[in-house]
Amino acid sequence: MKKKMKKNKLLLTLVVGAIFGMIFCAGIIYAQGDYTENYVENDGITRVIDTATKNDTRAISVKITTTLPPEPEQLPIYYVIDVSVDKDKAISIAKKFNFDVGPKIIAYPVQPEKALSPLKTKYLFKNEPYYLEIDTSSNAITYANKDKMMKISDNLPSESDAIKIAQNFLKRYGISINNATIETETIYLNKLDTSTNEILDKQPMMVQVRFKRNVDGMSVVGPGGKIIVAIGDDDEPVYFFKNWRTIESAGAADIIPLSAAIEKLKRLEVKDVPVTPLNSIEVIGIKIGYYEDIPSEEQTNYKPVWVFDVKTPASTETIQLCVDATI
Amino acid sequence: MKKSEKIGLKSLGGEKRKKESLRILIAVLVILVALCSLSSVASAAISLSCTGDPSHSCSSYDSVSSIDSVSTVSQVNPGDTITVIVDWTGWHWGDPNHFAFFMKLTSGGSWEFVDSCSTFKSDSNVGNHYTMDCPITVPSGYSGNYYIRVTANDYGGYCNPGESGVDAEGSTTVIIGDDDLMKEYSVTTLDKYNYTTGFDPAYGANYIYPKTKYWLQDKNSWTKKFYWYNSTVWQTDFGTQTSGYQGLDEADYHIHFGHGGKDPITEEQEICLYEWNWGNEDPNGLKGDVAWDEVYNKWDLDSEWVFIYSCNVLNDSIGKWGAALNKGHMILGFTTHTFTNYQILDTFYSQLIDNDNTMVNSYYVATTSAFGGDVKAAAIADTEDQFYHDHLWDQGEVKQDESPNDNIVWYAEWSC
Repeated sequence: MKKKMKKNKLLLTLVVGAIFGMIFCAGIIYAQGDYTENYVENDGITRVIDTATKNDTRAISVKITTTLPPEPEQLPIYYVIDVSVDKDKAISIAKKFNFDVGPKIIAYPVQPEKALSPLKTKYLFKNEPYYLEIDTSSNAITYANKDKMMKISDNLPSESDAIKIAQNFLKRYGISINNATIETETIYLNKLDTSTNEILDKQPMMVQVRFKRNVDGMSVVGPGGKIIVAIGDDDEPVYFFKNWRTIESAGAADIIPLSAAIEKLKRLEVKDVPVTPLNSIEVIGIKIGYYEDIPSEEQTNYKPVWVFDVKTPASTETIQLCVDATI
Repeated sequence: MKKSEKIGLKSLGGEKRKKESLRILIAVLVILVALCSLSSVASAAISLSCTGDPSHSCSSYDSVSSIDSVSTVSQVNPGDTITVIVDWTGWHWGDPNHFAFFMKLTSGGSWEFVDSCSTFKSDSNVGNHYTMDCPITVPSGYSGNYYIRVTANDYGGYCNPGESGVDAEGSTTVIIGDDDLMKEYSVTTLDKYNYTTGFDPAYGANYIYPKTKYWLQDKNSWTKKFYWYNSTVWQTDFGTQTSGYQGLDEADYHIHFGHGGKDPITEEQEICLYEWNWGNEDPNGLKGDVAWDEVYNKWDLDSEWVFIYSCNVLNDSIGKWGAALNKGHMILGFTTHTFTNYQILDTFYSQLIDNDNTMVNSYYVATTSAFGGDVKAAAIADTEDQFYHDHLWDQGEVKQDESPNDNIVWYAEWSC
């Protein structure tokens, strides 16, 4: 009797399994049928045309898990006074760095596919293996010794000595900085065995000294507001980068309430968009700072931003997202 | 005498002759073996060094009866030093012999002098067989299929190819430059995703692809291999297959822009494609994700440099992704989050092209000028030489592909 029941159960399982299998196969065939309408041929490979019709909204869910900071009604704003650099000024800067030939003018479109795209310009001075670049939009400077950057160094200074060397370098070229946070980092060349993930050797190459700008006691965020001096072999500054606009007071501006800033954050109206999935974020820190842009941007003023330290499900560390804090 | 006795005597005499014949046969064999071994001793090549830098002076004296073979590696990059192995027959007879190396395109042109050297060994046998390893530095600016020609001369100095007085000549061929002699790039970008936020306005389509095309193709005559975007970006575009379509491994340079991050289920850092869905995408689906194990050891065809402009892909995964570099040279990416930026590519390509800077230096300058200190960038090279010396094609040295693959990579990581 028990044997017979077992047999019946097996039969039932097989029948149910077959029905599910047929439905599954039909589903696959149906899905394939949908796609075939949208296939395109390119380089011999069949692709499906992008037919996304979803509302491409960037709304994200925001969870606040930090205490809310005070909300100022007004904060100082600033004009940027060296918005553009002409050729003569570039030459005078280059002379200080001992470049006496040039410059070569490098111009490139912001959006190459657009016929009326504005051009960006840089002045390039060369004295192999050294070079100096000056961005005309911001007076940002890049100076480097190509042969000694990112090379193993036998005689590298300590990080504390590197700060002194970097400060002397800036002093020598008349670059004064006030209210900066100094960070150091030794950059190594690592030899790694990919089969064991073991680092077999580690050789220092440069000590990077970063001066990060503060304005009115608030940190400057974004790609600008910093100076990097990298010290290589025998204490030589082998790389120097300055994106530090000169500013002067322009009065004060009204600051949007934090709730309005959070709404902007939900719509992902941020200054720089992170390249990671962001369906939901957890805010673990909020402050106000100033934002300084990339060298090729003609930034005319310095304005406060709300700065959110956030955690995302797909990212391992905190990401800083900034939204405009002025109306 | 009985007949039987007669037969017995006859057979005795026959045995004697047989023994004598056997002795003669053995003697002949011994002589033959001795001769063979002597000749093999004579034909064993004697190693010889070729040094110095003789000048041109082609004489009618002869010491090299033949250049028996010339061989070297099949593919080399400009600026590399390669070993050319030359086997020759002849003697020195009291003074040095002089060799010179020339190159010209197999498609035509004239011979161009590359290097010369001299040999000397005290010898008295005219039929010596010599072999020598000659280091030759390939001049920069050479690209294509080339002949390497060796000339030999006895007295005074070296001879040019075909010159009256040259003792002997021999050739081999070498491919200089890229694996397939074409400068090719490919691009993949994602601005839209089915299950997560994208980039609006489009950043990949409006900036990554047009800027790459502008700097490489419009200004520097590179050829586009492919550009795929959004849902047309497939896993196979990342060189996941070992035969048939090889994706990015069919181009020298590839740039990918789009989300990267940790798969919540596998906990591995991966490149997110159109159907990426927080780990719930089909791991074998074409449009879900690209994980390190799908490209493990796979980039062995034409790929040199791959720029992964995505968050976190290299986070705690440098060895895993670095293992993709079988013969590929470098991966440029990020170990933290990163952001959209309207300048990074202009700086990167301008450093490579206008400044003839190395790949690693250019990436360092581009990332440190584009992002704040919260972003960490990394460059992973297959060999130490490539880390220091690789430039974009035609902008300077490019080091040889690693072969055989040694499972070692060289990397640096820095805060921007």
